[in-house]
Amino acid sequence: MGYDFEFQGEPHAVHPVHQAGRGRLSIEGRAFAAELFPGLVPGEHFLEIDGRQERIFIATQGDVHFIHWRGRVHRVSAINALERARRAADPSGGADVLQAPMPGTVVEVAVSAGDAVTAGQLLMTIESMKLQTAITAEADGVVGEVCVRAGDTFDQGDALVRLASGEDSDEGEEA
Amino acid sequence: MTSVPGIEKVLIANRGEIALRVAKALRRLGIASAAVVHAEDAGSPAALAVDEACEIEGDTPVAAHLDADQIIRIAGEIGADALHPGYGFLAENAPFAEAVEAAGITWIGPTPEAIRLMGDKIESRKFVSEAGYPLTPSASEEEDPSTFAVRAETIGFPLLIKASAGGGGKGMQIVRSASELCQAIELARSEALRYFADDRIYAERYVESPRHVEVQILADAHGKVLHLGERDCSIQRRFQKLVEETPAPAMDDDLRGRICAQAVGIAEAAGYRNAGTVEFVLAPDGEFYFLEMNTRLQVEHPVTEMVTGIDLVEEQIKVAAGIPLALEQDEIQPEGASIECRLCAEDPDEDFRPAVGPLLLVQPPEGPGVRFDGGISAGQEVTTAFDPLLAKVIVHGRDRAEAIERMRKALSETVILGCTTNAAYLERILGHADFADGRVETGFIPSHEAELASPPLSAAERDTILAAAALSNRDFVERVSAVPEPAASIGDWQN
Repeated sequence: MGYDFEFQGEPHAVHPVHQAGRGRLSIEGRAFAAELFPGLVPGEHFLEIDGRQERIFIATQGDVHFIHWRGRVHRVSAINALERARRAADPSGGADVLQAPMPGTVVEVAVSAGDAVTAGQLLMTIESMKLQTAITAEADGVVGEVCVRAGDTFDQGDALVRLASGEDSDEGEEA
Repeated sequence: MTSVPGIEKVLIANRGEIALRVAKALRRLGIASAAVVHAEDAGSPAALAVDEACEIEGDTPVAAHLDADQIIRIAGEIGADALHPGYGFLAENAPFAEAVEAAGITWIGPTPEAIRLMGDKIESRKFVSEAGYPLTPSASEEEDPSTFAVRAETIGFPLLIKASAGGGGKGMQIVRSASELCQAIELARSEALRYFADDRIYAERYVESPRHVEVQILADAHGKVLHLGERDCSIQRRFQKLVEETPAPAMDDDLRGRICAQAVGIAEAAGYRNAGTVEFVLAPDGEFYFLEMNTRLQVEHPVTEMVTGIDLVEEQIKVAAGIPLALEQDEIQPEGASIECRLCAEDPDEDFRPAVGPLLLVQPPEGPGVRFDGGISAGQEVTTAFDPLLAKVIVHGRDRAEAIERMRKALSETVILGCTTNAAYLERILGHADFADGRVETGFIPSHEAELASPPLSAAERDTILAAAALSNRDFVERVSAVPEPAASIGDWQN
């Protein structure tokens, strides 16, 4: 459906609208006259939108646009066709993988592959800067794979623990 | 040629903004500069600024910077005749300072004895107390472990359990009632062991709504001890300073004079030399207590430089070379007000979790009275390998109000894209009415949490941001020009 940009966790439909002589686009169905002009210093742009001019710094990496405007930085991701198809096919998005909520270091791993765990059970302790965080099981299940070891460093979004799904989770409840 | 006899080449045993800042001072003094550089920092502004970048290795980048033997070997190989440790890493490591001097290299810092004395929280408190200065009531576990909990309880609640070997808030626990005490002691002990490999702990009275006030000391090897005024560093989060300023707001000259005199007295008693900082807890009733002495250059030293016009790193180097301080106390007359904000790679919208990412764009702030001490440039990758401090924004104004205004403008004009920073959050702190009124205390951030949160965007603001993103997206722009007229007239276009 149109061209989506994800901002603050929500997809927004932004469509190009062609009109001779001036740039127009529609955001969530509302039309805007908008044009972007490069400035003099790196990253600097001037956005003319509905008669206003805004000084904005923009840097782009792949499909992610970093927008510095009025002292705040915003991250907007273009959702490409492939990503849209993936989201449509798998709305849950791999819930059996516990991903790192932030970059950091593994302090201690409390479980091994094959262990039955119950919801809320400690799987590992991680540390980011001075903050220790307990990573706990979100649901009953069986540990399929522990992807990190004590002392390992990881980035945000890296897989920490994979929980085996399906009938294995029944064993977890018995344990 | 060098303007400091005996010092021709200095090895900087640090990285990031402080390595760059020391390198600049060396250049001004006509002294050759070298720095130890881990591969992670190859191409960083500090690595490029020095005359010689010497690669260091280690299991982790931090381990490389803590490898005293390797650093001293490098200093010898390159023929450095002095070493500047910056802050953090080995800056307050007495055995390292001793080993540097034993290798015939001048240590740009205090004597190993002073580092050792002030580095141990229990020993330094005992020393300061015996010198006749007030401390918050406290109890140490070492005196008698079996009665520690009882003695801690008699101090009264709330109290603070701290690691003897600690610093920077690591392993600190606030205890508000007797029922929490045992658990807090256990926790503090295990954290002390983990962070400092030393499980000694002590308890002290926790002053509610205190301010953190510290005094910059500069002392030479000939017994002259000067103070360069105070700094208020009350704006902290989890014991980490975020905003520092001088002069301390809402402080009368009598109190200021007494705090500075006490700091000088403590430094004199310790036979201190080089730059150092005496930290105090200032209670709402105006009483103040010795907290600790930092035996190094502080992160926040630039605010003192801005109001005094004295370059602390240059003075450190001259003092280390044995040159007597040319200044007299009454010649040090601070002018105006200065504020520093620490720009960190962290996300205030996500509970301040550390942020990582490539630095796609770095645009430092400019303007009158604005100083940017940064060690970052576009193209670098921010990782969790090091401390999250990216840069410091420092301003000077004729008075505090002007400094605040300049800082707010500088922060909003600081562009760092690719890695999330706390710049907008810092701007909201500076914009808070209580900050403007000088109502600062160490609980400022937790007690103003809601007002400091990111304000929600209006629909119009959101649309502006989406328009900017769409129009800088190559695919999108190509489609704009590819939309055929008939489809465009429908007003909507589908893939």
